[in-house]
Amino acid sequence: MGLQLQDVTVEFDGKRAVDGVSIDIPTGEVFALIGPSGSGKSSLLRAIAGLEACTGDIRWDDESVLKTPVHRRGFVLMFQDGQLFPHLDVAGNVGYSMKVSGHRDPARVEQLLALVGLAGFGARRVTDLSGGEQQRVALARSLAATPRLLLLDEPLSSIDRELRERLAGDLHDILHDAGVTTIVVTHDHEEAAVIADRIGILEAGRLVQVGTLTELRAHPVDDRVARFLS
Amino acid sequence: MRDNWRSSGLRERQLSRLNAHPATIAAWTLGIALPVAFVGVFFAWPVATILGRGLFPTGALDVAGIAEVLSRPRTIRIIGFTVGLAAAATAITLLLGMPAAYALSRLKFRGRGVLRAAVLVPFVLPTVVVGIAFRTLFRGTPLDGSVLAILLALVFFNIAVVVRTVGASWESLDPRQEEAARVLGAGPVRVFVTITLRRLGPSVAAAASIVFLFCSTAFGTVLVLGGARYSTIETEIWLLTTQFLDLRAASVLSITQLLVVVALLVVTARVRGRTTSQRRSFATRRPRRADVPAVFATSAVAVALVIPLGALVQRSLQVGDGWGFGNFLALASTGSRNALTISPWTALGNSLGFAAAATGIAMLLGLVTSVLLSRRPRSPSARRGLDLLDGALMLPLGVSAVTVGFGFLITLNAPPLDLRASPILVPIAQALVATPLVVRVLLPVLRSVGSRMREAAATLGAAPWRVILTIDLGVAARAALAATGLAFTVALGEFGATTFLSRPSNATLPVVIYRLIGLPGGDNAGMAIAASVVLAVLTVAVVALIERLRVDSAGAF
Repeated sequence: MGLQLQDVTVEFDGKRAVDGVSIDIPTGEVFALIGPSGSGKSSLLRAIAGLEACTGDIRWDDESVLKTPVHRRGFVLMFQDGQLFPHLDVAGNVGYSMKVSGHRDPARVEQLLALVGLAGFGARRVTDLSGGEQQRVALARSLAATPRLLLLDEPLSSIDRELRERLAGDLHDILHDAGVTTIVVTHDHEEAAVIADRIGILEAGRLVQVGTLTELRAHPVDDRVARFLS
Repeated sequence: MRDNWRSSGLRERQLSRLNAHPATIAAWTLGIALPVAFVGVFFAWPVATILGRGLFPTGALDVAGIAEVLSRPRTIRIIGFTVGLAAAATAITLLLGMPAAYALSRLKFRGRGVLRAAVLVPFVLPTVVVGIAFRTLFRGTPLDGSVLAILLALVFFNIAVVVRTVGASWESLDPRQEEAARVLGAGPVRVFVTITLRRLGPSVAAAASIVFLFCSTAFGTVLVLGGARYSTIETEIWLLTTQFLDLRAASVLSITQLLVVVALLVVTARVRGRTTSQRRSFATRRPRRADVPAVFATSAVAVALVIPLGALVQRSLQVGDGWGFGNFLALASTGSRNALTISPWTALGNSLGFAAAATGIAMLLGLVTSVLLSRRPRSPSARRGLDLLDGALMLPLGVSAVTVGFGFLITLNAPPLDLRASPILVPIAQALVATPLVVRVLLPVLRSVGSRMREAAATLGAAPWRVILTIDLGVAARAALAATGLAFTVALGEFGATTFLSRPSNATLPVVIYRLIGLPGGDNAGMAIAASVVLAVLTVAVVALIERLRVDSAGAF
């Protein structure tokens, strides 16, 4: 149960950005996808969300979602820079998915804001927030949609280092408390180890190794993985 | 930016290949069909018919006839006069507009808001009102009825275009580049020429071509000021069609004008394509000593722009040898010797009704088209198609409104579309003129919504139509309000096509004003001036409302 990728391949103009990736991610797991830039992490994430055409199969609970349009997949993608809606306030952003589905719930919006450490921020303009606060709002907004699968694309990369370490810990706690199945893309393996249960390494579009950071470090599959993790 | 385009293109491709819901395809098709059909039926067809009647009178191309028209000394003189007038007006407008563009976009000083308003207001004033204001100003001076008066009126009208277009781009210039050049030892003049002007180049060129376009096709202002003495291509087309019924000559002139306009629009589109992507703006700063000339020049321009309006208001209050509201009271009458069929107040009511309907049509078309044009599909042919649609929608701005108006009369007068007796033609023609402006206001804002923001909304559960409604239109809501106001003022002041299409019984206020000044004597001149004041006040009120919304409609072109 959970997410199954079967031989997922994404091509841009005949060039393979993601090359035959297969993996199972059980419900409730937080999985990190790491790799150097250009290794296809973001393309894979976008393909899972339904934003990129791909071949192979993407299944959820043994049902293919390949033909399901983006907005019906229940897979929420949170972008690197949050992509908050500038014309809505914080509460409007967090409550967006509820408004779209017709189930407004101001109490839950407030609850989620408290969860990400922004209680009472509802009426603020999103353009007045710091980078870290914006990402917290984006996270609350993503969780508000009660996604089956949460896709985080470099969620902490636009935040300065000090704050990033603290937020990585927060993120781990929030995701595990919520029990939401998550794939988080990052290029920082320390960060991946803090947030995720398992780590997958992507190289030139191929998933070359999967395990915990300790396992990966103990038995790197090749020199490049060893160098990347050192 | 490029990445955004790329991924949005991919999204589009994926939409069509994987998840293209039949409803989605139907919606996009309808979205494209609506503006295309409107422009086709209410612009291309009438204009083509007019041209066909003139150029193919017997079914075959009348080459000899065309040559005859083009070799008439009067034709040559009029084409030369039009181009010369527009070129001179463009040069003066740029010269006066640049300091104002700088001061109003980069500096922060007291009275900036007032100056900005004074500079921007003339652009939305009805052309007939501008013409009458300058006539009133120069009455009894050697400038009365002179070329210079026409020239000044055109400059008056278009400074706002330079301030808006160049100002928007000046605002987004990173001042650190200039500072870097200064540190490297370049003098202020050198910095301006090598850095600033170079980077402003595209927007200056865009502003120049738009101003030239407006000046070379100006109708109401030139007709009011030039009278019978000075004709431009546009007023000559009017004269030829209405007075001499020389359709052939009118068509030849229309074609000439069309060619010039299309060439200009192609240039503008090229230049604009390079400027719209950057929409950052840097903080304004207090003026330094070196900025004093620019601030001074801006103030001088603003004062000069207010003078004609001041003269208009002053004259409107003059009754006989004294002062009073007699001219305004007379607006309830039909003028001396019953010059009019309806009173100016009734005409104002007509104007408001027509303008409201035109605004509705223009907003519907403008919103649909802007949303379409803000997408960047990946396939080059689809992108070219959208660019073509963009250009086609701009055409009505440049093509002789007179040609459009007359074209309506001779094409929409028989089944399947017999609208001659219907007053709907007036708002349709006005909407044709207003829609391109609506698109120019909305498009930059909609383009600022990145494809990834739409993707974020989609993954949060919003269906494609929901994304357009909540994200695109949400972000553009204030711009849409501003565009509504702009469309309304443009429709209110439209003269060229309306003068053909409205009947004496449902004439609009600009048409009535023009009729009044054509029948001098008695109170008619005073009434025309009072009615102009009313129209100007109304327009300014709408613009003031827009400014209060603080919508950045800069970069409108």
